[in-house]
Amino acid sequence: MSFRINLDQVVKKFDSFFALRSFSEVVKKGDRISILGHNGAGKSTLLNMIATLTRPSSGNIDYEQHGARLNDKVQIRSLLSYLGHEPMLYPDLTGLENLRFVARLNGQPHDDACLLEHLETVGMQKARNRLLRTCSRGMQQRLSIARVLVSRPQLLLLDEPFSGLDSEGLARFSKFFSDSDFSWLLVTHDMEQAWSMANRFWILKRGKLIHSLDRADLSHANFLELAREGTMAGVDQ
Amino acid sequence: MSPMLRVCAAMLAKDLRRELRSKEIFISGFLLSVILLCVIFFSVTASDLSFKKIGAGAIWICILFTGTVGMNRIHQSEMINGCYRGLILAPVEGGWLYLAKVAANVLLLGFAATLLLPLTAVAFHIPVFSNLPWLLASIYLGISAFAAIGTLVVVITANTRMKDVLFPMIQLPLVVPVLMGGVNSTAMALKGEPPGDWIQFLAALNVVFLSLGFLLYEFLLEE
Repeated sequence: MSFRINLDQVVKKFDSFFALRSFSEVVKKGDRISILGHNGAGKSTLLNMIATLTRPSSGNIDYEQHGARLNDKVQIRSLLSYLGHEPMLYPDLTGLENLRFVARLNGQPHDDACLLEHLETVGMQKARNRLLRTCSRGMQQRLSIARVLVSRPQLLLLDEPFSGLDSEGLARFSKFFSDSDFSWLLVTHDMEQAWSMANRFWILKRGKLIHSLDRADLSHANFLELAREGTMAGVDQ
Repeated sequence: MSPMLRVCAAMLAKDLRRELRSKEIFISGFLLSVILLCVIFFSVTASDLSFKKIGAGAIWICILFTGTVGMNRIHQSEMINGCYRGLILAPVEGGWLYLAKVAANVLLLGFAATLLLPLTAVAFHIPVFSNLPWLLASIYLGISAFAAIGTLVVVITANTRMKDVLFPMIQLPLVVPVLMGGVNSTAMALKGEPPGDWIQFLAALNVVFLSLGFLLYEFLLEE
Protein backbone atom coordinates (compact mmCIF):
# COMPACT_ATOMS: atom_id res chain seq x y z
CA MET A 1 0.00 0.00 0.00
CA SER A 2 1.49 3.33 -1.02
CA PHE A 3 1.29 6.50 1.01
CA ARG A 4 2.78 9.96 0.92
CA ILE A 5 3.01 12.72 3.51
CA ASN A 6 3.66 16.24 2.26
CA LEU A 7 4.92 18.75 4.79
CA ASP A 8 4.58 22.23 3.35
CA GLN A 9 6.12 25.25 5.13
CA VAL A 10 5.26 23.76 8.52
CA VAL A 11 5.88 26.09 11.46
CA LYS A 12 5.33 25.35 15.16
CA LYS A 13 5.45 28.19 17.65
CA PHE A 14 5.10 28.02 21.44
CA ASP A 15 4.32 31.62 22.46
CA SER A 16 7.22 33.53 20.88
CA PHE A 17 9.52 30.49 20.61
CA PHE A 18 9.84 28.84 17.19
CA ALA A 19 10.16 25.07 17.76
CA LEU A 20 10.08 24.42 14.00
CA ARG A 21 10.56 26.90 11.13
CA SER A 22 9.29 26.53 7.56
CA PHE A 23 9.76 22.78 7.34
CA SER A 24 9.01 21.38 3.86
CA GLU A 25 9.64 17.74 3.04
CA VAL A 26 7.98 14.61 1.66
CA VAL A 27 7.77 11.17 3.28
CA LYS A 28 6.78 8.22 1.11
CA LYS A 29 6.63 4.45 1.27
CA GLY A 30 10.05 2.88 1.62
CA ASP A 31 11.56 5.89 3.36
CA ARG A 32 13.64 5.17 6.45
CA ILE A 33 14.54 8.56 7.74
CA SER A 34 16.84 9.26 10.67
CA ILE A 35 16.25 12.66 12.23
CA LEU A 36 19.23 14.17 14.00
CA GLY A 37 19.73 17.41 15.88
CA HIS A 38 20.71 18.90 19.22
CA ASN A 39 18.33 18.99 22.23
CA GLY A 40 15.47 21.35 21.45
CA ALA A 41 16.09 21.27 17.69
CA GLY A 42 12.42 20.42 17.03
CA LYS A 43 12.71 16.68 16.30
CA SER A 44 10.01 15.50 18.72
CA THR A 45 7.76 18.45 17.82
CA LEU A 46 7.97 17.38 14.19
CA LEU A 47 7.00 13.78 15.04
CA ASN A 48 4.12 14.98 17.26
CA MET A 49 2.72 17.02 14.39
CA ILE A 50 3.02 14.18 11.87
CA ALA A 51 1.35 11.88 14.43
CA THR A 52 -1.60 14.37 14.62
CA LEU A 53 -0.99 14.99 18.32
CA THR A 54 -0.50 18.73 17.77
CA ARG A 55 -1.41 21.07 14.93
CA PRO A 56 1.14 23.21 13.09
CA SER A 57 0.96 26.93 13.89
CA SER A 58 1.08 27.50 10.14
CA GLY A 59 1.73 25.44 7.02
CA ASN A 60 0.13 22.15 5.99
CA ILE A 61 0.66 18.46 6.48
CA ASP A 62 -1.19 16.47 3.80
CA TYR A 63 -1.59 12.70 3.93
CA GLU A 64 -2.24 10.62 0.83
CA GLN A 65 -2.92 6.94 0.34
CA HIS A 66 -3.05 5.37 -3.15
CA GLY A 67 -2.96 8.90 -4.56
CA ALA A 68 -6.11 9.99 -2.69
CA ARG A 69 -5.90 12.68 -0.04
CA LEU A 70 -6.87 11.64 3.49
CA ASN A 71 -8.94 14.21 5.36
CA ASP A 72 -10.27 11.98 8.11
CA LYS A 73 -8.14 11.72 11.27
CA VAL A 74 -9.25 8.12 11.79
CA GLN A 75 -7.84 7.16 8.38
CA ILE A 76 -4.64 9.13 9.01
CA ARG A 77 -4.14 7.50 12.41
CA SER A 78 -4.61 4.01 11.00
CA LEU A 79 -1.66 4.79 8.71
CA LEU A 80 0.70 5.69 11.56
CA SER A 81 2.01 4.35 14.83
CA TYR A 82 3.86 6.56 17.29
CA LEU A 83 6.42 5.61 19.92
CA GLY A 84 7.15 8.55 22.21
CA HIS A 85 9.13 9.07 25.40
CA GLU A 86 6.42 7.37 27.47
CA PRO A 87 5.44 3.71 27.03
CA MET A 88 1.66 4.46 26.67
CA LEU A 89 0.96 1.17 28.47
CA TYR A 90 -1.06 0.54 31.64
CA PRO A 91 0.99 -0.34 34.76
CA ASP A 92 -1.76 -2.57 36.21
CA LEU A 93 -2.00 -4.77 33.12
CA THR A 94 0.43 -7.44 31.95
CA GLY A 95 2.35 -7.09 28.71
CA LEU A 96 -0.06 -9.46 26.95
CA GLU A 97 -3.15 -7.67 28.30
CA ASN A 98 -1.76 -4.30 27.23
CA LEU A 99 -1.17 -5.56 23.69
CA ARG A 100 -4.63 -7.15 23.59
CA PHE A 101 -6.21 -3.81 24.50
CA VAL A 102 -4.22 -1.95 21.82
CA ALA A 103 -5.08 -4.60 19.20
CA ARG A 104 -8.81 -4.47 20.03
CA LEU A 105 -8.82 -0.67 19.96
CA ASN A 106 -7.12 -0.72 16.57
CA GLY A 107 -9.44 -3.40 15.19
CA GLN A 108 -6.57 -5.84 14.73
CA PRO A 109 -6.56 -9.59 15.50
CA HIS A 110 -6.18 -10.00 19.27
CA ASP A 111 -5.88 -13.75 19.69
CA ASP A 112 -3.04 -14.94 21.90
CA ALA A 113 -1.10 -16.57 19.05
CA CYS A 114 -0.94 -13.32 17.12
CA LEU A 115 0.03 -11.24 20.15
CA LEU A 116 2.63 -13.76 21.28
CA GLU A 117 4.26 -13.41 17.88
CA HIS A 118 4.74 -9.69 18.56
CA LEU A 119 6.05 -10.42 22.04
CA GLU A 120 8.53 -12.87 20.56
CA THR A 121 9.70 -10.21 18.10
CA VAL A 122 10.62 -7.94 21.01
CA GLY A 123 12.00 -10.76 23.19
CA MET A 124 9.29 -10.51 25.85
CA GLN A 125 7.40 -13.78 25.36
CA LYS A 126 8.55 -15.27 28.66
CA ALA A 127 7.61 -12.13 30.58
CA ARG A 128 4.19 -11.84 28.91
CA ASN A 129 2.26 -12.32 32.16
CA ARG A 130 4.28 -9.87 34.24
CA LEU A 131 2.51 -6.68 35.27
CA LEU A 132 3.99 -3.71 33.46
CA ARG A 133 4.75 -1.93 36.73
CA THR A 134 7.07 -4.78 37.74
CA CYS A 135 9.00 -4.59 34.45
CA SER A 136 12.29 -2.72 34.13
CA ARG A 137 12.66 0.40 31.95
CA GLY A 138 14.21 -1.66 29.16
CA MET A 139 11.45 -4.29 29.29
CA GLN A 140 8.82 -1.54 29.13
CA GLN A 141 10.58 -0.09 26.10
CA ARG A 142 10.48 -3.50 24.39
CA LEU A 143 6.74 -3.72 25.09
CA SER A 144 6.31 -0.19 23.70
CA ILE A 145 7.93 -1.33 20.47
CA ALA A 146 5.54 -4.31 20.41
CA ARG A 147 2.67 -1.85 20.94
CA VAL A 148 3.51 0.12 17.82
CA LEU A 149 3.81 -3.06 15.77
CA VAL A 150 0.43 -4.46 16.89
CA SER A 151 -1.55 -1.85 14.95
CA ARG A 152 0.20 -2.91 11.69
CA PRO A 153 0.90 0.65 10.50
CA GLN A 154 2.35 1.90 7.21
CA LEU A 155 4.68 4.35 8.91
CA LEU A 156 6.36 4.15 12.31
CA LEU A 157 7.18 7.37 14.14
CA LEU A 158 9.93 6.45 16.58
CA ASP A 159 11.18 8.99 19.11
CA GLU A 160 14.40 7.62 20.62
CA PRO A 161 13.09 4.02 20.58
CA PHE A 162 16.32 2.47 21.82
CA SER A 163 16.67 4.36 25.10
CA GLY A 164 16.93 2.00 28.06
CA LEU A 165 17.62 -1.08 25.94
CA ASP A 166 20.48 -3.48 26.69
CA SER A 167 23.01 -4.47 24.03
CA GLU A 168 20.93 -7.50 22.99
CA GLY A 169 17.90 -5.24 22.55
CA LEU A 170 19.89 -2.69 20.57
CA ALA A 171 21.21 -5.33 18.20
CA ARG A 172 17.77 -7.00 17.92
CA PHE A 173 15.89 -3.82 17.02
CA SER A 174 18.59 -2.34 14.79
CA LYS A 175 18.37 -5.53 12.74
CA PHE A 176 14.56 -5.65 12.93
CA PHE A 177 14.02 -2.10 11.71
CA SER A 178 16.73 -2.46 9.04
CA ASP A 179 15.32 -5.73 7.65
CA SER A 180 11.57 -5.14 7.97
CA ASP A 181 9.27 -3.66 5.31
CA PHE A 182 8.20 -0.79 7.55
CA SER A 183 8.80 2.81 6.60
CA TRP A 184 9.87 4.90 9.57
CA LEU A 185 10.98 8.23 10.93
CA LEU A 186 13.50 7.74 13.72
CA VAL A 187 14.65 10.42 16.13
CA THR A 188 18.04 9.51 17.53
CA HIS A 189 21.23 11.01 18.91
CA ASP A 190 23.32 7.99 17.93
CA MET A 191 24.96 8.92 14.62
CA GLU A 192 26.36 5.46 13.89
CA GLN A 193 22.97 3.86 14.41
CA ALA A 194 21.30 6.53 12.28
CA TRP A 195 23.77 5.84 9.48
CA SER A 196 23.53 2.06 9.62
CA MET A 197 19.71 1.87 9.56
CA ALA A 198 18.38 4.73 7.42
CA ASN A 199 18.24 5.53 3.72
CA ARG A 200 17.52 9.23 4.29
CA PHE A 201 18.61 11.77 6.90
CA TRP A 202 17.12 15.01 8.16
CA ILE A 203 19.41 17.18 10.25
CA LEU A 204 17.77 19.92 12.27
CA LYS A 205 19.35 22.90 13.98
CA ARG A 206 17.35 25.36 16.12
CA GLY A 207 14.07 24.40 14.44
CA LYS A 208 15.42 24.57 10.88
CA LEU A 209 16.09 21.72 8.50
CA ILE A 210 19.73 22.35 7.60
CA HIS A 211 20.33 19.13 5.63
CA SER A 212 18.06 16.66 3.89
CA LEU A 213 20.29 13.87 2.64
CA ASP A 214 20.07 10.61 0.71
CA ARG A 215 22.33 7.81 1.79
CA ALA A 216 23.19 7.07 -1.85
CA ASP A 217 24.77 10.52 -2.24
CA LEU A 218 26.89 10.35 0.90
CA SER A 219 30.00 8.77 2.29
CA HIS A 220 30.09 7.77 5.95
CA ALA A 221 32.63 10.51 6.70
CA ASN A 222 30.52 13.17 4.95
CA PHE A 223 27.46 12.11 6.90
CA LEU A 224 29.28 12.29 10.22
CA GLU A 225 30.61 15.75 9.43
CA LEU A 226 27.16 17.10 8.48
CA ALA A 227 25.44 15.37 11.40
CA ARG A 228 27.92 16.86 13.87
CA GLU A 229 27.14 20.30 12.50
CA GLY A 230 23.56 19.88 13.68
CA THR A 231 24.05 17.92 16.85
CA MET A 232 26.96 19.96 18.24
CA ALA A 233 24.89 23.17 18.45
CA GLY A 234 23.89 23.74 22.06
CA VAL A 235 20.42 24.77 23.12
CA ASP A 236 21.64 28.26 24.13
CA GLN A 237 23.75 28.91 21.05
CA MET B 1 -18.47 -5.87 15.45
CA SER B 2 -19.28 -2.17 15.00
CA PRO B 3 -16.53 0.34 15.94
CA MET B 4 -18.62 1.61 18.87
CA LEU B 5 -19.08 -1.88 20.34
CA ARG B 6 -15.45 -2.77 19.69
CA VAL B 7 -14.14 0.33 21.48
CA CYS B 8 -16.65 -0.06 24.34
CA ALA B 9 -15.80 -3.74 24.82
CA ALA B 10 -12.05 -3.03 24.79
CA MET B 11 -12.34 -0.10 27.19
CA LEU B 12 -14.68 -1.92 29.60
CA ALA B 13 -12.52 -5.05 29.67
CA LYS B 14 -9.42 -2.93 30.31
CA ASP B 15 -10.95 -0.70 33.02
CA LEU B 16 -12.62 -3.59 34.87
CA ARG B 17 -9.46 -5.68 34.85
CA ARG B 18 -7.43 -2.75 36.17
CA GLU B 19 -9.99 -2.02 38.88
CA LEU B 20 -10.15 -5.67 39.96
CA ARG B 21 -6.39 -5.62 40.31
CA SER B 22 -5.81 -2.20 41.88
CA LYS B 23 -9.19 -1.66 43.67
CA GLU B 24 -8.33 2.04 43.38
CA ILE B 25 -11.87 3.35 42.88
CA PHE B 26 -13.34 0.96 45.40
CA ILE B 27 -10.87 2.03 48.08
CA SER B 28 -10.84 5.76 47.32
CA GLY B 29 -14.53 6.14 46.42
CA PHE B 30 -16.58 3.51 48.20
CA LEU B 31 -14.84 3.75 51.56
CA LEU B 32 -15.24 7.53 51.46
CA SER B 33 -18.97 6.97 50.93
CA VAL B 34 -19.15 4.66 53.94
CA ILE B 35 -17.48 7.35 56.07
CA LEU B 36 -19.91 9.95 54.71
CA LEU B 37 -22.87 7.69 55.50
CA CYS B 38 -21.60 7.35 59.08
CA VAL B 39 -21.24 11.15 59.42
CA ILE B 40 -24.78 11.72 58.06
CA PHE B 41 -26.14 8.93 60.29
CA PHE B 42 -24.68 10.46 63.48
CA SER B 43 -25.78 14.00 62.49
CA VAL B 44 -29.35 12.76 61.93
CA THR B 45 -29.30 10.82 65.20
CA ALA B 46 -28.29 14.02 67.04
CA SER B 47 -31.10 16.03 65.41
CA ASP B 48 -34.89 15.72 65.13
CA LEU B 49 -34.75 14.81 61.44
CA SER B 50 -36.44 11.65 60.22
CA PHE B 51 -34.17 8.95 58.79
CA LYS B 52 -36.64 8.25 55.98
CA LYS B 53 -36.64 11.87 54.79
CA ILE B 54 -32.85 12.10 54.62
CA GLY B 55 -32.34 8.74 52.79
CA ALA B 56 -32.42 10.00 49.17
CA GLY B 57 -30.15 12.94 50.03
CA ALA B 58 -27.67 10.64 51.78
CA ILE B 59 -27.50 8.31 48.76
CA TRP B 60 -26.82 11.23 46.39
CA ILE B 61 -24.22 12.90 48.65
CA CYS B 62 -22.34 9.59 48.58
CA ILE B 63 -22.72 9.25 44.79
CA LEU B 64 -21.51 12.83 44.32
CA PHE B 65 -18.34 12.37 46.37
CA THR B 66 -17.62 8.82 45.22
CA GLY B 67 -18.12 9.96 41.64
CA THR B 68 -15.92 13.03 41.92
CA VAL B 69 -13.08 11.16 43.63
CA GLY B 70 -13.50 8.07 41.43
CA MET B 71 -13.52 9.95 38.12
CA ASN B 72 -10.47 11.92 39.12
CA ARG B 73 -8.66 8.68 40.01
CA ILE B 74 -9.72 6.99 36.76
CA HIS B 75 -8.43 9.90 34.73
CA GLN B 76 -5.18 10.19 36.66
CA SER B 77 -4.46 6.53 36.02
CA GLU B 78 -4.99 7.17 32.29
CA MET B 79 -2.40 9.96 32.42
CA ILE B 80 0.31 7.67 33.89
CA ASN B 81 2.79 6.48 31.25
CA GLY B 82 1.09 8.69 28.66
CA CYS B 83 -1.71 6.12 28.19
CA TYR B 84 -4.09 8.93 27.27
CA ARG B 85 -1.95 9.76 24.23
CA GLY B 86 -2.27 6.12 23.20
CA LEU B 87 -6.07 6.50 23.26
CA ILE B 88 -5.94 9.75 21.28
CA LEU B 89 -3.76 8.13 18.61
CA ALA B 90 -6.05 5.11 18.16
CA PRO B 91 -7.81 5.16 14.78
CA VAL B 92 -11.20 5.64 16.40
CA GLU B 93 -13.67 8.56 16.34
CA GLY B 94 -13.28 10.73 19.46
CA GLY B 95 -17.03 10.43 20.05
CA TRP B 96 -16.86 6.63 20.29
CA LEU B 97 -13.96 6.94 22.74
CA TYR B 98 -16.06 9.32 24.82
CA LEU B 99 -19.09 7.02 24.93
CA ALA B 100 -16.87 4.04 25.79
CA LYS B 101 -15.23 6.00 28.60
CA VAL B 102 -18.64 7.10 29.96
CA ALA B 103 -19.88 3.49 29.82
CA ALA B 104 -16.86 2.28 31.80
CA ASN B 105 -17.30 5.08 34.36
CA VAL B 106 -21.03 4.34 34.74
CA LEU B 107 -20.30 0.68 35.35
CA LEU B 108 -17.64 1.33 38.00
CA LEU B 109 -19.60 4.08 39.79
CA GLY B 110 -22.86 2.14 39.44
CA PHE B 111 -21.28 -0.87 41.11
CA ALA B 112 -20.13 1.27 44.05
CA ALA B 113 -23.65 2.82 44.31
CA THR B 114 -25.29 -0.61 44.24
CA LEU B 115 -23.09 -1.69 47.15
CA LEU B 116 -24.15 1.45 49.02
CA LEU B 117 -27.88 0.73 48.77
CA PRO B 118 -28.10 -2.09 51.36
CA LEU B 119 -25.91 -0.04 53.74
CA THR B 120 -28.19 2.97 53.35
CA ALA B 121 -31.27 0.78 53.78
CA VAL B 122 -29.95 -0.54 57.10
CA ALA B 123 -28.63 2.79 58.41
CA PHE B 124 -31.62 4.96 57.40
CA HIS B 125 -34.46 2.42 57.71
CA ILE B 126 -35.55 2.98 54.12
CA PRO B 127 -37.36 0.34 52.04
CA VAL B 128 -35.01 0.11 49.05
CA PHE B 129 -36.51 -3.15 47.79
CA SER B 130 -40.16 -2.02 47.73
CA ASN B 131 -39.77 -0.01 44.51
CA LEU B 132 -36.44 -1.34 43.26
CA PRO B 133 -36.85 -0.89 39.45
CA TRP B 134 -37.66 2.85 39.80
CA LEU B 135 -34.95 3.30 42.41
CA LEU B 136 -32.32 1.68 40.17
CA ALA B 137 -33.55 3.67 37.16
CA SER B 138 -33.20 6.92 39.15
CA ILE B 139 -29.72 6.06 40.39
CA TYR B 140 -28.34 4.71 37.10
CA LEU B 141 -29.77 7.50 34.94
CA GLY B 142 -28.35 10.03 37.42
CA ILE B 143 -24.95 8.34 37.44
CA SER B 144 -24.96 8.21 33.64
CA ALA B 145 -25.59 11.99 33.38
CA PHE B 146 -23.01 12.57 36.14
CA ALA B 147 -20.41 10.49 34.25
CA ALA B 148 -21.29 12.20 30.95
CA ILE B 149 -20.48 15.60 32.50
CA GLY B 150 -17.47 14.38 34.51
CA THR B 151 -15.80 12.62 31.56
CA LEU B 152 -16.01 15.86 29.59
CA VAL B 153 -14.83 18.14 32.42
CA VAL B 154 -11.94 15.88 33.33
CA VAL B 155 -10.53 16.26 29.80
CA ILE B 156 -11.02 20.05 29.85
CA THR B 157 -9.04 20.34 33.09
CA ALA B 158 -6.49 17.60 32.29
CA ASN B 159 -3.77 19.88 30.93
CA THR B 160 -4.05 22.56 33.62
CA ARG B 161 -1.67 22.87 36.55
CA MET B 162 -4.43 22.89 39.20
CA LYS B 163 -6.45 20.03 37.70
CA ASP B 164 -7.18 18.39 41.08
CA VAL B 165 -8.83 21.60 42.32
CA LEU B 166 -10.32 22.74 39.02
CA PHE B 167 -12.10 19.46 38.23
CA PRO B 168 -14.55 19.57 41.18
CA MET B 169 -14.86 23.36 40.91
CA ILE B 170 -16.07 23.15 37.30
CA GLN B 171 -17.92 19.86 37.63
CA LEU B 172 -19.99 20.53 40.76
CA PRO B 173 -22.02 23.49 39.40
CA LEU B 174 -22.66 21.56 36.19
CA VAL B 175 -24.06 18.51 38.02
CA VAL B 176 -26.59 20.54 40.03
CA PRO B 177 -29.46 19.66 37.63
CA VAL B 178 -28.44 15.99 37.87
CA LEU B 179 -28.51 16.19 41.66
CA MET B 180 -31.96 17.83 41.60
CA GLY B 181 -33.30 15.16 39.28
CA GLY B 182 -31.55 12.34 41.09
CA VAL B 183 -32.58 13.32 44.63
CA ASN B 184 -36.22 14.00 43.73
CA SER B 185 -36.53 10.88 41.62
CA THR B 186 -34.89 8.70 44.32
CA ALA B 187 -37.06 10.25 47.06
CA MET B 188 -40.24 9.46 45.11
CA ALA B 189 -39.06 5.92 44.40
CA LEU B 190 -38.34 5.40 48.11
CA LYS B 191 -41.88 6.60 48.93
CA GLY B 192 -43.25 3.97 46.56
CA GLU B 193 -44.40 6.49 43.91
CA PRO B 194 -43.38 6.27 40.24
CA PRO B 195 -41.01 9.22 39.55
CA GLY B 196 -42.01 9.51 35.86
CA ASP B 197 -41.36 13.25 35.36
CA TRP B 198 -37.99 13.23 37.11
CA ILE B 199 -36.93 10.14 35.18
CA GLN B 200 -37.78 11.99 31.97
CA PHE B 201 -35.77 14.98 33.20
CA LEU B 202 -32.75 12.73 33.91
CA ALA B 203 -33.12 11.05 30.51
CA ALA B 204 -33.18 14.47 28.83
CA LEU B 205 -30.00 15.49 30.72
CA ASN B 206 -28.36 12.30 29.48
CA VAL B 207 -29.29 13.06 25.88
CA VAL B 208 -28.00 16.65 26.12
CA PHE B 209 -24.67 15.91 27.82
CA LEU B 210 -23.91 12.69 25.92
CA SER B 211 -24.55 14.48 22.60
CA LEU B 212 -22.39 17.40 23.69
CA GLY B 213 -19.57 15.09 24.76
CA PHE B 214 -19.84 13.01 21.59
CA LEU B 215 -19.44 16.12 19.45
CA LEU B 216 -16.77 17.93 21.50
CA TYR B 217 -14.51 15.12 22.72
CA GLU B 218 -12.33 14.90 19.58
CA PHE B 219 -11.67 18.65 19.72
CA LEU B 220 -10.92 18.60 23.46
CA LEU B 221 -8.46 15.72 23.16
CA GLU B 222 -6.08 17.70 20.96
CA GLU B 223 -3.04 18.97 22.82
